[in-house]
Amino acid sequence: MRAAFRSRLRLILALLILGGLLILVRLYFVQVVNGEEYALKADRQYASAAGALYDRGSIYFTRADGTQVSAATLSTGFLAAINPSQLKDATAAYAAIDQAASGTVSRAFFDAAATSSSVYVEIAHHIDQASGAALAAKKLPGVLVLRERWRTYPAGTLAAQSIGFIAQAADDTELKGRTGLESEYEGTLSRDGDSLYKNFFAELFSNIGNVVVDARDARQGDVATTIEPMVEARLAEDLSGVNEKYSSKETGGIIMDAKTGAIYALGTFPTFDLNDLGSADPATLENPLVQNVYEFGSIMKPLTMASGLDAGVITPATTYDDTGCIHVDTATICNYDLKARGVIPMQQILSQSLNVGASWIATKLGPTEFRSYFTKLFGTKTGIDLPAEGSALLSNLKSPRQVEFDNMSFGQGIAVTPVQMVRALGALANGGSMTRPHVVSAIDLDSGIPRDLDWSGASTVFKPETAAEVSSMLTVVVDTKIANGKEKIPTMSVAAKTGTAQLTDGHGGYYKDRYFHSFFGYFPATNPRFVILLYTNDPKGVEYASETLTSTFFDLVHFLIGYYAVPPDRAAA
Amino acid sequence: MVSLLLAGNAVLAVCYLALIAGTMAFAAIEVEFAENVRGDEAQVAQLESQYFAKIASINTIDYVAHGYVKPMALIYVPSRTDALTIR
Repeated sequence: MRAAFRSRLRLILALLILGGLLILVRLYFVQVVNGEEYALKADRQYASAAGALYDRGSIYFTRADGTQVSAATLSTGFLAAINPSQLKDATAAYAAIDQAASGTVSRAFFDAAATSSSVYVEIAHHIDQASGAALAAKKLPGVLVLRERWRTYPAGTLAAQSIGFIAQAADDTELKGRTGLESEYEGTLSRDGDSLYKNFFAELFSNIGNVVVDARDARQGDVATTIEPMVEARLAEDLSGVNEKYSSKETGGIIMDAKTGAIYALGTFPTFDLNDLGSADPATLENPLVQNVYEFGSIMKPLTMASGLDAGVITPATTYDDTGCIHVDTATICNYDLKARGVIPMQQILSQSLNVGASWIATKLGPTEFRSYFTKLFGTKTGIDLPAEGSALLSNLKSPRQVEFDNMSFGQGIAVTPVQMVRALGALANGGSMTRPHVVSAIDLDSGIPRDLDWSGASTVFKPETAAEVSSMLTVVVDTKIANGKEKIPTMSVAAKTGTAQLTDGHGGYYKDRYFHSFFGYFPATNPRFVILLYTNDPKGVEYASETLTSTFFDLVHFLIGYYAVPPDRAAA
Repeated sequence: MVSLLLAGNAVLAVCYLALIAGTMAFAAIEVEFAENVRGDEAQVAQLESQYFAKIASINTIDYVAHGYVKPMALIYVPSRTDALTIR
């Protein structure tokens, strides 16, 4: 028995010694191997009560080959702070920090350094890795070099209004998404702070549920957009070219998948650099593609034509007598050149962009049918996953007068957002059904599972044969009329229409010499893949959209054909 | 009986200490990994910035100034089985 007792004692002793050795080994790692690192972290916990390094999910562009490129991510570096009570040589500290911060530290540093009662004053942020490490290596007394993370946007100005940015608000000091996708997907992108600095052991016993199955894993993740960076860059380049050439107030564009509504590129110019909000013009921060409404002008005519054909009040062979000008109620509606064409078929209404012809179709349709079609087309928001989407101005659809309907038939007296316009016109490219335009395709959850977003549920407006007929008409417009047929691509059918609308003067009338230009098209017209909408607001020194946007549109068409290797859909004549 | 209880308590105490050491070690490794991932992502972001800058410079190249002209015509021909596939 004494022997058994001794052996048990030895066993317990051995276990205690083993436990002690384990603790000693761990102590060695904590104190010796990682000692400096923990000292730095301890400094940070003391210096900054908020403690946690900034953390946030990423937003990705998706290339044509499926690879993802960051649109919004995190950069890692350092911030430099001083402890004035321990600062020995303010001049040397200033020189060292200023060098690390690329010369951005102001002389106010010395005022901060003189406040000996302070223990922590942040001097410079966003110092890169190399410069921060060099500063830390100098070990200047009173100079603290702390790890920092911040939001960075590698693409700079690309799709800036749609990607959005994070900021603090006057009534909310938390860094949150305030515009664009950063705001729309705030719940997905935000993180609770660097939870790894929490006491895991305490979490284990007080919050075991979250440790085993974290509910945040089902919510937090990265956002994968449908935006293709090369296409976006090309669109941005073209838009800035148009805006600068014609000194427009604003130029915008959307390139969308005809079948799914996925947006490959969208942007407006002027724009701003997401990495330099301090220099941004506040007027450029909003997203006019979803927030602003415009009277698009003659690109509305294909929808009027489609409505007439779909309702059966006209056929492609129907003719009418174009007198150049007509009097409706108390107003006069004229063609752009005031000229009469005589008896002509429906094709010429689109080919020659005739206001009188569009008005004639509206009259044949009647207010009830016209209202029905245009309410289906523009009566609802698109539901695009961008914030602050605006609604169309459709009050004239309730008018008791025919003149309002005639005006709307050629795109005046009705104002819609660009994304509503591309959705409506996209119905012609999608067998008569409007897709759901969207910018995000999936959420890549932190748990590793990608969650695809469901954007199905197209709404049918026209019959497929109606859409096919209008597509055929618009192809004739490209092949014979736009730039006198010079932009015709013999092996690729392209459907397109220009629009030139007079700008409103704010007093119920229109300017005689200021315009809103638009250009819409899709290809291949026989089985569309891409829908393109372009506009430029108030271009100077030019009257018609065919002058400002034709070359840009076809530059994009040729780029997309080459980039996506779109095969020809017709034989060269 | 008492000695058995004492032995059991000692074992539990050692296990408790081992659990603390183990969880702290796990937390430290997890922090280190997370920091490394974020550091790598930041380096990738720098490369992506260079990528976008390169795209912008390509898009602004004036081909005419470099002596190139647009093709006169673009003709599609039937493919041969031995044709080089680029994509």
